[in-house]
Amino acid sequence: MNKTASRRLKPLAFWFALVLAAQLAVPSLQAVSFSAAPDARQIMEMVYHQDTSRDATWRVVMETVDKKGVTRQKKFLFRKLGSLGDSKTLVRFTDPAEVRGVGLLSYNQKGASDRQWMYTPAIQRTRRIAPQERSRRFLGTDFTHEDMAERVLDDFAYRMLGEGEVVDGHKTYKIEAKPVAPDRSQYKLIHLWVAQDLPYTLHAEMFDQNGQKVRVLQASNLEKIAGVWVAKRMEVSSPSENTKTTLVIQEVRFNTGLKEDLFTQQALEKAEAF
Amino acid sequence: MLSILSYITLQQWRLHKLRTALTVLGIALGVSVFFAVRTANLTLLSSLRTTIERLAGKATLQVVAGEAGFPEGVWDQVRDTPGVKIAEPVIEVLAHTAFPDEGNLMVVGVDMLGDRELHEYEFDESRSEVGDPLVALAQPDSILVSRVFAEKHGLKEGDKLPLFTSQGRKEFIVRGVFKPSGMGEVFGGQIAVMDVFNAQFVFNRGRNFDRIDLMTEPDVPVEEVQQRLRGQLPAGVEVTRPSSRGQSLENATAAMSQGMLVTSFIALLVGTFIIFNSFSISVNQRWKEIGVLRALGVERPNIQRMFLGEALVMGGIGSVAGVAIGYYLAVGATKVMGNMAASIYGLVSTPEPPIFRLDYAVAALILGMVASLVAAWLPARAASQLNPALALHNIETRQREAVLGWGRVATGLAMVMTGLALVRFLTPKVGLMFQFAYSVLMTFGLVVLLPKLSEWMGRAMRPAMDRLFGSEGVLAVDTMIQAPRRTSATVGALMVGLMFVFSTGAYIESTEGRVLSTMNRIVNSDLFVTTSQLARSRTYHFSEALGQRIAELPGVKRLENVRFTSVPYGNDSVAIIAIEMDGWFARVKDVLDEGDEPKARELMPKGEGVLIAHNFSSRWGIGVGHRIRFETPSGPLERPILGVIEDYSSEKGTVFMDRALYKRYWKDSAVDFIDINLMPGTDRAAFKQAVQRLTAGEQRAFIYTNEEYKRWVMELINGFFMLNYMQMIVAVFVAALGIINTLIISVSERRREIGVIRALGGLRGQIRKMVLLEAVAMAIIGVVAGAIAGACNTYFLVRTAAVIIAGYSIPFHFPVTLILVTLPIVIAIALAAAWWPARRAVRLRVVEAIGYE
Repeated sequence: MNKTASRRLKPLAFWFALVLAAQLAVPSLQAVSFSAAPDARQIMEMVYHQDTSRDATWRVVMETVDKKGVTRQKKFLFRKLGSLGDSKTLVRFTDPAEVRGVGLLSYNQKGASDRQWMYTPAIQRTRRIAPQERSRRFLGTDFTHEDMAERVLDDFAYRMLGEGEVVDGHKTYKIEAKPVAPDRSQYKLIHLWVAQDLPYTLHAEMFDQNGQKVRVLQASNLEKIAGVWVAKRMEVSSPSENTKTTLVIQEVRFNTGLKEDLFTQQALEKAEAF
Repeated sequence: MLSILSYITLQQWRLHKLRTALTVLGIALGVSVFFAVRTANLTLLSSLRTTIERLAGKATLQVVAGEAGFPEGVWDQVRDTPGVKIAEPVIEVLAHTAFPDEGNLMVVGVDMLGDRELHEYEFDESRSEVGDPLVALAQPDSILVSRVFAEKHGLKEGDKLPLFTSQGRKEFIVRGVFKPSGMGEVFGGQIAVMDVFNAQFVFNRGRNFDRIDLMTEPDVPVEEVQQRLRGQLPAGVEVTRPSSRGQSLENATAAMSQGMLVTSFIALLVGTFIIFNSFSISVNQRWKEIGVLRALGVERPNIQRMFLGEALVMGGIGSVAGVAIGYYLAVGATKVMGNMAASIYGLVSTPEPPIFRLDYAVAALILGMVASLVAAWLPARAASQLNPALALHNIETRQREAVLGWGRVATGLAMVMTGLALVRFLTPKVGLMFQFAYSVLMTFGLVVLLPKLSEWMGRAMRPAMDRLFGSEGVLAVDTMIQAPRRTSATVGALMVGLMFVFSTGAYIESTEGRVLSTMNRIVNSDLFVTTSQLARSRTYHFSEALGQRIAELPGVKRLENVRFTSVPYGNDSVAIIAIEMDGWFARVKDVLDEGDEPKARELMPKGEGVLIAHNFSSRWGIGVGHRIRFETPSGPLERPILGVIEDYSSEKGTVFMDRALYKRYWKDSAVDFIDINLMPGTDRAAFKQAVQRLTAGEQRAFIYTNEEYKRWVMELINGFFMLNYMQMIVAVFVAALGIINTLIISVSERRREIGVIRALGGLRGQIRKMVLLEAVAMAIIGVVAGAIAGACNTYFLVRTAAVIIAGYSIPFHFPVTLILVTLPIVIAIALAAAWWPARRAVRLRVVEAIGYE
C-alpha cells in the first residue's frame, strides 16, 4: 500500500475541509489588524481549528455542470462525528432516485491507515475503496480527492501577500500557501482570501505544476449557527475545463448527540435508516 | 561443366513448361499449407496473448484460479501483502448482445473506484470522465463501451444496449465511450467496461472474481512479491505474470494446434510425390540425353548433381511461392482457428494480421527444398547409374526390372509391418512427432510397394477393362503396366492424399460413432437447454432461477442443472461436470465401465465420491480405488474415485461430481446446461415451445430435444474438424495435379504409338477414351492403395494420436462407405484432370506423331 498516498489522501471525512475548516468565530481573529502585521500562519491556524463541534449534520444540495453544459443535481445528508484528525463521516445520497441510498463511510484517524467504504443499495453491496490518486475528481464533481480530504496545516508554508479584494461584503487577507514538498499536494500554489473579520476562507485559487489556474473556490451566504460560521453556498469551478460544482447547505445542525453506531458498516448498509 | 548442365536443365524447362509449372505448383501448395498452419497457429497464440496483455494493462502480476474464479477475500489478502502497490479485481464475460446481428461483446468488470493506473481505457472526449460516475456506480445497468463498438451500433452516452445476462435480457445504459487504444483494441473493439461489483451481480458471479491484476512497488522485485503471495494465498489460486499466461493458452489449444500441424505435413508429402513423379518421368524421357552426356565424359556424380540441382531450384522456387501463398492462406486459417478457439475453448483473440516469422519462412523453404531433393534422389541416382550404351538402346526394359524387383517388395512390406508393430506395441508416452514417424514409415513402405501393387492391380483390372471398354480399356491398362514408374508416382500422390482423406474420415466417423453411443447411454434426457450454440460458453451462464422457472412448467418430471467448467489440476487443467447425481442416476443404468455402480449410486449424490472419464484415467494414471484431490478456493477437496465412465466432453479429461459438492467448494452456482426429463406422455415439441416462450427475449438460451441435441453435438464435432476437411481438399487437389502431370507426360511419351493407332484407323474418340480410361484406371488403383494406406493410418490415429492428443481410445473403424463414396468422386476428378491431356492427344498430327523421335 502506498503509505504516502494514504497519509495524504485522507478520506471523504471532510468534504469541504478546505473551506469548512474555517468555521469558528474566533474573536481573536477580529482583533487582528494590519497595523499589527498579521501572521499568515497564525491566521490559517485559526481557520483550520475553528470548528470544535463534536458532531455535525448537513443537508446539502449539490449541482454539477459538466463541460457539455449538462447540469445534474444531487442531494445528500452529511454526518460527522469527532474532530480534526479523529473523525468518522457518513454521506447518504437522497436524490435523485438512481443514487438514493448510496452511502459513503470514512474513518479518519491520525497515525492509522484511512478506511473508506461505499454501499450501493441496487446490488446490496459494500465495497472498500482504495486510496485514490489525489488529483482525480471525486465522482464527477470539481472536487478532487485532495480537495475533499482533511488538509494538514503543516503540509504548507504560508505567506501574507497583503490585503485582498472584498469578497461577499468582507474585507480579506490574501495568503499564499505553498506545499512544503512536492508530494504533499497536487497543487504548486494556492491563493487564499481569508475574511479579516472572521476565520473563514471566502475565495481560493489553486494552481497546477505548470502555474495554470485549475480550480477556483467561492464561499458565500455566511451564517453563524450554534456559534459556528457556515457558508451556505460554495462554488468550485475548473476554469480550464469549463465545469462547476455548487453546494447549497439547506440545513445544518451541530452537537445533536450523534451515536458511534451510526458510523459502522452495518449502519451504512441500512440504506433506509437516515 | 556446371554451366553446360545448367544450360541443359534450362532447355528442358523451356521445352516442358507445363510440366515444370505443375511440379513447382505441387511443392508450392504443399509448402503453403504447412506454412499457413504454422503461421496461423502463431498468430492465434499471439492474438490471444495480446488480449491478455491489453486487458492486463500495466499489471506486473495476475492472480487467477480456473474458470470459476476465487472468493473476494483473496483480494484483501493481496492488497495487504507488502510489495503490492495496486491490486484491482477483474471479471471478464463474453456476453451476447441482443442486437439483430447478435454480436459478441467482451465485458470487463473493473473497480471503477480503483486505481486507473492499471487499466487503459481512455475516454473519448479528451480526458472527460463518465457523464455521471456516481450513477454509473450506483446502477448495475451502467456500461462504458469502446468507440468502435459505439460507432458500429450507433450508440452514444445515454443510449440503451441490450445484453443477455444470467438473469435474462437486460437493457444497459451507455454511460461513456472510450477510445480504441489499449483496452479499447481488444477483440476488435468489441469491448465494454463496467464496475466489477455490478458485473458480479448481473453475470451471476456470486462473490467471486475472475482474477486480480496487480502492480508491484517499483523498488521490490516482482519475483519476491510473487513468492510472497504464493505463500499466503489459498491453494488452487495461482500468481503469474501476464506474459506467462500465454503458456496456459498454448496448453489449452495444444490439441487443436498439434492436429493442424500433423495434417499439414500430409499436404507437403503429397507435394513431394509430385516432384518424385515429375523427376522420374523427366529422367525416363531423357535416357538418350543422359546416355549422350555420359558418352561424352560427364561423370556419374555430375549427372546426379544436374538432376538434384534441378530439383533444388524447382523446390526453391516452389517453396518461395509456397511461403507467399501460405501467408495469404494464413489469413483465413487464423480466422478459422480463432473461431474454434472462441467456440471450443472460450478464448477471445484480438484480430491481428498474420505474423510473418522469417524463421518459419526459412524452415518452410528448407523443408520444401529438402522434400524436393528427397523426391528427386532416387530418379537422380537412377540417372547417374545408367549404362550409357544401354541407355541409347533398351532403357525401358532395364528400368522396369529394377522397379519391380522382389527385394524392393520385401523392403516395403518390412517397413509397413514394422510401422504397424510400433503402433501396436510401443507405449504412447513419447511425443506425437516421434509417433508420427511410425505413420511415415508405413507410408513409405507402401510407396516402395506401390509399383508392384500398381502392376498387380493393373493386371487384375485388365479383363474387366477389356469386357467393359474393349481395346481402349486394354490399351489404357497396358500403358500403365508398361510404365510402372510413371504410374506408381501418380498413384502414390493419390494414395497419400486419399490416405489422409480416408483416415481422417474414419477417425471422424469413429469419434462420432463413439460419442453417439455414449450419448445414447448417458445423455438421455428429453430436452436440453444450453447457453451457447457452440460447445459451451466460458463466461455466459444461466442462474439457478431459470431452472426453477422451467421446473414449474406442467409436464416436468425432473430437471438437472449442470455446470461444465475447467479447473486447475496438477500442472494442467481438467474439466468438471457438476450435476445433480440423484437425478442423473435415476435415468442412467449400467453406465460405469469400471467400479461398483450400486456403491456409486449410493455415495455420489451425497458428494462422497467422484467418477472420472477414461481419458482422465489414462492421462493421469489413476482409477477406481485412488483418491483425487483438488485445490479449491475453499480449501482442498479430496474424494475417492468410485467409477470410470466413457465420456468425450474434454480432451483434458473429465471428472463428474455432485453439483452440491461443487458449489460448496467452488462457491459457484452458475449453470451451463439444464437437462429436462418429462412426465410420460408429455409432448416434447410442445414443451420445447413452452420453454422457448418462457425464455424468448429474456434469456439467450438454446433449446434442443434429445434428437436435436445429438445432431447438434455431431455438428460441433464436424466443426472441430473443419480445418481437416479443408486440408483434405488441398491434398486431393494436389494429387489431381499429379494426374494431369502424368497424363501429359504419358501422351507425350506415346506420340508415336498414338500416331500409329490413328494411322491404322483409330478414331479421335478412341484416343480420347484411351487417355481417359488410363486416368480412370489410375484413380481406381489410387483409391485402393489409398484405402490400404488409410487403414494403416487410421490404426495409427486411433491407437496413438488420439491417445496422445486427447487421451481418448477410439475403436478402429474401416470407412467402407466413405471409400465407396469417394471412388466415383476421385474418378470424376481424374476424368476432369485428364480432359486436357486427352485433348492434346486427340489433336496430335498423325504424320508428325509417327515421325516423332
